[in-house]
Amino acid sequence: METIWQNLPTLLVGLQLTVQYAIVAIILMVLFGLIAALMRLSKIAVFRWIAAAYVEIFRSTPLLVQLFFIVLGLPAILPVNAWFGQLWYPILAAALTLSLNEGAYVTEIIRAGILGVDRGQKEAASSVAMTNFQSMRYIILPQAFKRMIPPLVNQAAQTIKDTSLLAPVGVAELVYKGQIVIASTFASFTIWGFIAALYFVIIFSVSKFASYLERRLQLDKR
Amino acid sequence: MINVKNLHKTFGALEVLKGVDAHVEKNEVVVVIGPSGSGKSTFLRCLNGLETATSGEIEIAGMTLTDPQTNINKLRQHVGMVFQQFNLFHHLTILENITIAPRKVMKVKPEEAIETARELLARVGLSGKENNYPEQLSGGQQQRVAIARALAMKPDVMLFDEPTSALDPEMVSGVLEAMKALALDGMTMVVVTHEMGFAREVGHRLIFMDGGQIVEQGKPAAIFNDPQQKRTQDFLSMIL
Ligand SMILES: Nc1ncnc2c1ncn2[C@@H]1O[C@H](COP(=O)(O)OP(=O)(O)O)[C@@H](O)[C@H]1O
Ligand SMILES: [Mg+2]
Repeated sequence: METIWQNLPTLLVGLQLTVQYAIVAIILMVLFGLIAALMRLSKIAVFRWIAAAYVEIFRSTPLLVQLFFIVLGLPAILPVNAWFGQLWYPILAAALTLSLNEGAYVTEIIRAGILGVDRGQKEAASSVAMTNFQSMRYIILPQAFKRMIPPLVNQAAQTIKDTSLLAPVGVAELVYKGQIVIASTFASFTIWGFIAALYFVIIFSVSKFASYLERRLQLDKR
Repeated sequence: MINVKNLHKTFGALEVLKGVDAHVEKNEVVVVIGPSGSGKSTFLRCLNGLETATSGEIEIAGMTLTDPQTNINKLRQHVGMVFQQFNLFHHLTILENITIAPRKVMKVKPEEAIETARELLARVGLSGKENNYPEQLSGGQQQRVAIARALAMKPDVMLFDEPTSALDPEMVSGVLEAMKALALDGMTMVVVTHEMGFAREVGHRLIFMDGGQIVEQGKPAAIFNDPQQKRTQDFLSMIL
């Protein structure tokens, strides 16, 4: 208890970074997922291929390897540090890689959600002269979104957990700070236990909030 | 109002429409009958571009649908459609179902769209259901909302694809009443239906389709009483 209390400021700084990366990644993963899902369903073949390649590449390689490759590997052949700044490149690259990885899974969630909406809805929208964009925006996506909430929340929880993989590429988030604290205190059991509890509290509240949200939506509308 | 010349439609190897020629006058109510699979729905869906004609020419509401230059969404503003399965927007209230297209497509002001929607709901006998969701309505009520939704675009033509086939028997008459009122108002209508009473009473002309072709057409009473073609006779003897 004493150990935790003494090192709490350090750990909280790490936690703050964990939360920040998670929020950015969750927002971006939905954005990337939406774009890639729409591309996968596009009439234009090139869009479909690009999106399919994106999804397959990111789902078929480990996130940790992706992070090493993009955060640490790319600077060896490209002057990315000069482009983005020595300080900024690893931060941006880490956040972007994490988001792209999660976005690949979200792509499939959103695609399945869109395909799950009855074909008659799109036909009805077309019959009242909506453009493809309008029927997607006002008819299909709102209906698809409701059934996407549970899998999207799962993915958000996964994203929060996956931020821990940012430690090996030098992001000073919760796990990274934990390692530092343990290096000086040797309180391995206490600190890892505490860190696990922190993750649990965050992810558990996210899931609870999501099921509340889902119930609300279910009550409001069908 | 509608002019179809030598319309062909194939799905892969399957030829569903084999050269359909049809003409519908303004204010005319044309009823299309025929056995299941004869291409009635496909024909109707070609008329508002839900299916793309393989060949042939379709003019509707003053525009040439088969001309690649034609803006299909512009054309669809003039052609309303009512589906067998209603296809109301599940996530929207009844009022929103009717106002969304006028607002988003035609940029009608919200208050104006709502007022029109209320009038249309009154016309189909559903005042008071504005804030319900489609699932809270019976099939017959949903179908009448679907009619109101199509009418909100102020179309020149209305297409009906078996509008009462998915309904419980006691729900059918309400929908047919709404359609009849529409016909009496002078709406140009093409109606695919098995309701022979409606065809006889409201239809100006009856088209019998079989095997992707129009086999026979004429005044409903004439066809019912004295069908000229063997296939028409067989079909009518089966359903009447
Ligand atoms: N999208 C489609 N793809 C393949 N075949 C279709 C499609 N739509 C209709 N068909 C076929 O076309 C034929 C005519 O169908 P349809 O126009 O629905 O007939 P009807 O409405 O007279 O019952 C049927 O054999 C049906 O299976
Ligand atoms: Mg049909």
